[in-house]
Amino acid sequence: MTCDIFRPFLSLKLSGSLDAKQARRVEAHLEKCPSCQADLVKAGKLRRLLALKRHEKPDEFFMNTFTAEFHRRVCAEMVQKPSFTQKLSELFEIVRQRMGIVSYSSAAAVAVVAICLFAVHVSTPGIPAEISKTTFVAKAAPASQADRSVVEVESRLNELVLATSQPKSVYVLDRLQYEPPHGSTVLAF
Amino acid sequence: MTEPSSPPDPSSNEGELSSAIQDQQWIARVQEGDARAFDELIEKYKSRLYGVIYNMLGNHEDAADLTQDTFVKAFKSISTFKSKANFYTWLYRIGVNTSLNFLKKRKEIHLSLNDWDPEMEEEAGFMELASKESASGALDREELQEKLNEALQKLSQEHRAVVVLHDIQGLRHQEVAKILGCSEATARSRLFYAHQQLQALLANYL
Repeated sequence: MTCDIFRPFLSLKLSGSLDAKQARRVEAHLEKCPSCQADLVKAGKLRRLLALKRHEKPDEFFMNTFTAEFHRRVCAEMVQKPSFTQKLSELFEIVRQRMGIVSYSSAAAVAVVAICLFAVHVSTPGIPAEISKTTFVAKAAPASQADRSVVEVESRLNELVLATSQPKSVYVLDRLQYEPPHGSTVLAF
Repeated sequence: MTEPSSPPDPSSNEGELSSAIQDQQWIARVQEGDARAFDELIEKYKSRLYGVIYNMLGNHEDAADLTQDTFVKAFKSISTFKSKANFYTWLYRIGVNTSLNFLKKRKEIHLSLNDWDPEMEEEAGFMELASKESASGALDREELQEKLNEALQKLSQEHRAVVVLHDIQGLRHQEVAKILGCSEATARSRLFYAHQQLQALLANYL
């Protein structure tokens, strides 16, 4: 077996997390592999180096004032009326803790999809059949008459909107020359 | 207030059991309405929780603030705590999640590099370990702490979390997995990868 297979087990050996069978196999490999022996030494040094941080402690001021500060914060939160967002996030936190991360994520994903589908359904305008068959395309006049033409086109569009009670969005105003869709009516100016 | 007891050595099953029983007694009192019983839990776990959060953030000021936030959250949701679970596992989970959310919101990492604790030198265990861990034999302790903090902060948040909980706090893989909400295999895998990265970053000190 190659060293790549044994390497992940070296830290486990140091922490005593191997079962008897695994420990024997790792020991047997180590006896024959100087490279893994060196890796084991490095892993041991890293482990001891990290264990140094266990001796870190907060300063005395922190230790002596912590509980009093905690009481102050709790009282302050009780006095302050929680916002809707805070209540919602607290509710989600409680649900997440109860459900577990997997169930919570699944439920959240389903909720997001449902909201998106609903939003799409609500925002899609119903376009009457007779309007959807025809797209009114206004071609702008040449550049020299551009300003007056824009005003004329806009005025004409407003007339159409009032006559048909349809929003401007169903009408396409294109300043550039292009091939109008089949069956569309071109307003020439 | 009774003399606070320090959290048990995780490697000692007997100590862990008696500590868990003590925690459950205090929690029961809190759930019955005795809010002051929560102070006992604070005294017992504030130092270790601070250690978890500090090593996640690398900043003392933020760690102090988030440790408070964690206890406040724990206090407010103590009614949802199930008596079968370990309190410190639940508390650490809140603390780690609070830290991860904080880190996601804040892009920059502000390291508190000038906060060497002189009392740490008096710890016999530290002196022995520190004297052994220098490749040159004469270790600059401030430099060592600085390098350790920097190396930890270079890990991704998920990899840093497993190192903090397992290597620094001494929790078992199963407990680490429970706190992080992943499988034990995932926790071990992240730990292995994190160790590979740390060995590369701390090569001069190993």
